[in-house]
Amino acid sequence: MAISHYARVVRGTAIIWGHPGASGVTHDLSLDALANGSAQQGEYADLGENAPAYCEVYVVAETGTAPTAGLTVDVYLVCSHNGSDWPAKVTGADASYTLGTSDANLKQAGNPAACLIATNDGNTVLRQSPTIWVPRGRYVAPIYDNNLGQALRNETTDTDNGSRIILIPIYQAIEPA
Amino acid sequence: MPDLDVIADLITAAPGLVSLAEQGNDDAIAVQLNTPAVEVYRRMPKALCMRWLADTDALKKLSEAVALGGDVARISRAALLLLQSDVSQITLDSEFLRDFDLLVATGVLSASDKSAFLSKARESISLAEHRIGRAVTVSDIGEALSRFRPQGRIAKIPQ
Repeated sequence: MAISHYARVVRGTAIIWGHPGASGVTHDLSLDALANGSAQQGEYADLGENAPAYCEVYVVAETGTAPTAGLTVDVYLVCSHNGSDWPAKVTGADASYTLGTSDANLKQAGNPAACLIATNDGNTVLRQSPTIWVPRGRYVAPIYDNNLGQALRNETTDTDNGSRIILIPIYQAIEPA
Repeated sequence: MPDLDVIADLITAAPGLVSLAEQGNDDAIAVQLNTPAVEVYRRMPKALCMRWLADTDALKKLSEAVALGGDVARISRAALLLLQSDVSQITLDSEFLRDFDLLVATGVLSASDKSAFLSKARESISLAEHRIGRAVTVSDIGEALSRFRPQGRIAKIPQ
């Protein structure tokens, strides 16, 4: 019997968090000169009514002074059902994020969706192999937690900062053979 | 969080560390605060004490001082008991050092005996251990400096 339809995955439009006005950025997440031990929350994104089955998550960090190899950037993705009510004291807007006493606020965000493991390279863009993340709601907002032991690169022009979180929605489609 | 306050004070008191903080180089700050830099006298291991006794013949001097009477005899007797006990190390607290100074002032032990004793007890510890009793982590540095980093950004530190 001939196959009438088959399932395949389709990649949607990338959601790219980065410094406002930086190249390719679709949603604001001010990262230039972000200090070690500090975190930034980003503008929320709407994944749409037709939700992706899962997403590819890419973490990018542009270093200034070379970090100690093995230290990390930890990215959390928190979800909301309506774009207004958020866990972990996230606001849904690009702003400094308060970690809380003993990181209590951050712990409400659950486990990191992705972590970038640093190499000892300064003034360069570090990229972590992508992970797969399953959305828990229609709206998603990121938390970028810098634990590199160094500040992210302090660019003369903030929008030159190459640090990003890239989210690529993956949809499952049934198509005729 | 008193530890963080002390760490912040240590950083702002040192121009070199302030410069590193303004660059966001928390890693280097932690390394410097954890590097041995302060000489302290906290304890004397018994093995080193035995060496000092052999070099200075302090046991004989203290034994002779017992016959003198008064505070000198009292302290000499206590010192003999301590030195011949099975403790693994001697704690050099303020009371111990005060009694040692009395033995030097009264001529039971010499100033060079004291110098020899202290040189064996000398330890070099980090500024972090000296001030807060432990090593600092890069995370500690970030937390301590957060008060000088508006919106989580590296910035000049007010002097």
